[in-house]
Amino acid sequence: MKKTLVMLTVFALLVSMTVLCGFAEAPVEVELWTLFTGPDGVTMSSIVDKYNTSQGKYKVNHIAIDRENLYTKLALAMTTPDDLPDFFVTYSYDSARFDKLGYIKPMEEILEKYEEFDFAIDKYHDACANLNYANGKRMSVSLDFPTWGMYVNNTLAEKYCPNVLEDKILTWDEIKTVGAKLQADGIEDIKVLGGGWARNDLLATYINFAPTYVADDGETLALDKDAVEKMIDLWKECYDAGYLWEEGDDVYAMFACDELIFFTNGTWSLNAIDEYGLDYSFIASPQLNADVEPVLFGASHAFMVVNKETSDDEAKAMASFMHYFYENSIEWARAGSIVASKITAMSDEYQAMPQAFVSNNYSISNPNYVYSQTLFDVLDGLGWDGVYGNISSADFADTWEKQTIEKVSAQQ
Amino acid sequence: MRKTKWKCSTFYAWWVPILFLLPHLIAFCCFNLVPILTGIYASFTKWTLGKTPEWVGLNNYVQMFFNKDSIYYWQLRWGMESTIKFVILCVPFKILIPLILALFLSSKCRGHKTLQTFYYLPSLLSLSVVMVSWRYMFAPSGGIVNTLLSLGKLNWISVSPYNWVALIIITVWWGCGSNLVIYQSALEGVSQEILEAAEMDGANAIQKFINVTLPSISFPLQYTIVTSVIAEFGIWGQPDMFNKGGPTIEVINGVNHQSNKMIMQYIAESGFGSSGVNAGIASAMALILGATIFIVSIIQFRIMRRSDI
Repeated sequence: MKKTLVMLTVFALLVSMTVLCGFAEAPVEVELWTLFTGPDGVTMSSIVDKYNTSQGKYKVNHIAIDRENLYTKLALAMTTPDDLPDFFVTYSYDSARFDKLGYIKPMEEILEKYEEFDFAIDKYHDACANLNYANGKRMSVSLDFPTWGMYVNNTLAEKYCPNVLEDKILTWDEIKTVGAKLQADGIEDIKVLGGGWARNDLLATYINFAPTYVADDGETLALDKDAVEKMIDLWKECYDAGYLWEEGDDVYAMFACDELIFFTNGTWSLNAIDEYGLDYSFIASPQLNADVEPVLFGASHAFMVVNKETSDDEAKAMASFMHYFYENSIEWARAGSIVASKITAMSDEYQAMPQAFVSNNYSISNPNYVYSQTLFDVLDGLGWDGVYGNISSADFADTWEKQTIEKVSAQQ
Repeated sequence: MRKTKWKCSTFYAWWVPILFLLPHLIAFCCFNLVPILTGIYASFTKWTLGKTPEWVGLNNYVQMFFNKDSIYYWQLRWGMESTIKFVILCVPFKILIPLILALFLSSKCRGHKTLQTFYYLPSLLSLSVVMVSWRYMFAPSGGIVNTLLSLGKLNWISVSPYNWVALIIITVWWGCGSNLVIYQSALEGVSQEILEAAEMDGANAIQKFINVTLPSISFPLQYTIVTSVIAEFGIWGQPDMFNKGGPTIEVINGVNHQSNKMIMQYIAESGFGSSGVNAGIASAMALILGATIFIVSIIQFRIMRRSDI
């Protein structure tokens, strides 16, 4: 009897120790939603996996959701908090809107609590000093600055417009001159410029004509319709003259096949362009004036913490991962990003990358309108309609403004 | 004793059927009734999902039916106009082409089983696979359609009416398999005796088809017409993935009218867009679409019953 009792006690002790050890060793899990799908999603998952294997205390579960679905899922999950992630990545310009909607909570709660990770704003790209704050609170931590610029086929540029390679700036006047010269020489299978994405191309041109589209309060749309009309007219003039691609053309294929000298696109396409095997460089998208320092259109991706109850362990897990990402941003840079982490940006490897030229030489204009996403979505819907002549530039400006205002009012 | 008997019979008469119905009733309530009632309630609110819905009464409907300054007034009109146009253009092909193919297959020609598989195969593909493939095939430069037909750079994607032609081809190709199977099985049931009798009476192939085959398959025909109309009223994925609604063809009051943007695209844009959720307007539009489909279906049934197709 005594023997059985001893054996039972030992067994019970072993079981409880095993269970306790299991609990002690189980990592704290946090869920991260990002808008990175495709190759970016693969890179982010790889960074997350490396973080998870680098230590055993915390585990990040990465869920990649495409941009539109991420917004919808967040809105839906707000009504059922169990479905919410712990933190997520989207554009930093969304932080003010999400703060108003009650989706996110200030980062300060986490960042100040775990000072060992040191998220001081001066460790990040200078633009973060504005971007990471909303309503006077630090609401986000930036990852990178996807920026809109232009890829140059160096071989064609050297042949047809060598001066552009000298000052690294292409003006609209130069597009017209080169286009006219190509036509005069009877060269029909090479176009000067191919547009990669109407929304970013037009916004990049807009900031050439007008400094902003928002009032000082950050919430009132102040679209300069005169500038919008000029922007459309300028693109249309070159399109009608035959200097640009034709409607329906595959501009990626054209650039890959030496049929475009310049091709506007984002830093995120660096790896894809690299695979074309061309001699290329990456510069600012077309400018009005070569004497003015180019300002590129960009939008920072940032971490935000969901407004829900978070345990100390979960908060520390998120801080730990964001810190890991800061320290290991070079992998993110290899995927073509302009990183927010200064420690990475100063590294030799980063400085040898094509996007380093952009971050070292140009300013990046980041949207600061609370409802930027609405403004951009409406512009996406209009696309190249103004340039292709489906609607007039005046109608384009009216439509862009009216639809944005009405859609914004539905959210207030 | 009599009381116990009554109790037993009442139990069997009422509760046993209810017990059998219960699983379905629960599923119906969870997946149909509650969402419908929530949708009806949401259509009377201003709701961004993240916050509590704000009751606005008939405001959403007033905006869509009477306020010409509202973008939703034009979205409803143009969305419904494009959808109805699509239904009218597409449904006849979705009925006729599978019917012709079924008649051809019913002749039991050599290789008819292989052909049947071949015709049905597209129905098994997912929307994204279908649209990505056809998007490449209809690409103006380098697309297989333009190359094979020597059409140069004909723009199937963003020039009317080619965008409509392309959308109809894709939808019919993708969706004719399911109707084909129904027609094949219906044709198997057509009485051979009546067909032979008609032939002996001197009826030709067309007369036999109109006077014998068609009346014999009237019920499957009615069913496929109604289901095809309902399905095409809900068209969303094909235009959304093909050209996002197509080029702008006019602008009224600061709202642009896209050539082939359907009502479901406007609903999805309002209800699930990245610009923020406007569940009130989206629900109101969806209810109007639902009511339209309901009315059209009733009219169809009435017409068919009267003409006894």
